[in-house]
Formats: sequence, C-alpha cells, structure tokens
Amino acid sequence: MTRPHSSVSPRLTVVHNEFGDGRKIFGLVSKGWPAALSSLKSYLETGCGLQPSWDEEAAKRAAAEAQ
Amino acid sequence: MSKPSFVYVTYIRTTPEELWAALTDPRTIRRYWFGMSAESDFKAGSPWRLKLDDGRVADAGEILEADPPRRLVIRWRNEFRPELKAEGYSRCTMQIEMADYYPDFGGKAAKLTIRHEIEGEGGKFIEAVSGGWPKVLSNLKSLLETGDVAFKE
Repeated sequence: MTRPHSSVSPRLTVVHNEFGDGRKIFGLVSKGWPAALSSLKSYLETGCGLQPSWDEEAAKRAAAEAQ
Repeated sequence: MSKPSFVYVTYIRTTPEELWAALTDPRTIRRYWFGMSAESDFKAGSPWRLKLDDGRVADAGEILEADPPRRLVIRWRNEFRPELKAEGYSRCTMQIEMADYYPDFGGKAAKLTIRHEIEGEGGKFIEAVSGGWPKVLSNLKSLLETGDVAFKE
C-alpha cells in the first residue's frame, strides 16, 4: 500500500450548509460526516475503510460485497 | 451566546489504550505534532508544556483531569504569540470512546473527540487551534493506522 507523503497529501474541506429549518438534518450530518471522512481517509491510506456500527444495514451490505 | 469553541471528531482503527498512549507519550507526540515536544507526566495537577523545535514554549498549562484511557482535560494557554496569550487560558478536552466496527473491517476502532473552548473573547485563539487540530489529528490517525504520518511540516 502506498504511504502518504507530504508532497502529495491533499486537504479536503467539506462545507454542508443552507439547512434552513432542517435542524434535525444538521444534527445527523454532524455525526455522519466525521465517521464518513474518517473511513475515507482509512480507505485511501490503507485500502480498508471503517464501517460504523450505527449503520448496521450498510455494514451488512458492505460485508457481503467484500466476500 | 455560546463561548468560542472548536470540536473535532475522528475515528481511528486502534484501541483506546493505544490512542491514549499516542496522546500522552512525548516521543509519539513529536512524530505527529510537527516536531513539537510535550513535557508532562499527564497526571491530574501536573504541569504541561508544548515546545517548538527551537526550544521555545509554544503552549503551557496544566493537566486538569486524566482518566486513562478515556478522558484528558488540559488547561491550555498559548505562550509565544502575544495576541493569543492575551486571550488567556482555554480548556481542551480529549475524549476517547469505543466505536465498534464489524470484523471484516478490522475489528474495533476508537472515537476521539477534541473539544477546545475558551472563556470570553477568545476568537483568535480558537481560530488558531481550528487550523492546527485537523492537521495534527490527521497525522495521528495516519500514524496509528499506517505507521507513518501524512504531513511532515
């Protein structure tokens, strides 16, 4: 697996806004993004993403696909 | 109005014990914190300092709480930028929780939450740490998962 190098490490900024009255959505994405972006970084650096347990169905699907 | 604060959550494929060690071992800290040296025994009531490569003290304070491997709270003030030092002491809380992952994805992982807050008008200090923490934590995650860091400087 290729190791990250300072010369090629990109910086990713995610801006998710204009929620209007959607405060519930704001709360949900505030929990979801850190998990998704952590998984993305793991995937790019190690070839293996993270699957948070709060999304059990997605984890089962991903596990089935991985087999 | 809420006080100025910075919150960052990251999930790392490691154990809470290894994550705690990485957050409190000066030799490991130096590897992912851009050469900064930490001086502390990380016990409640002990002094704490972060020093730059050239020996200047960057930040200083004391350990307010230490509950390995779950919770570390540091009273924290910048010491080398006058405009930040003037904003006084902040409070940094590092919280480690278990995040269970499915075995196909490497077993267990740890959730790290960094909350950095300051009383009063500490906007410049919080702006500064908001730029620093994502790089430091990105490096920490890379180091624990791959054995190397993402950024050297």
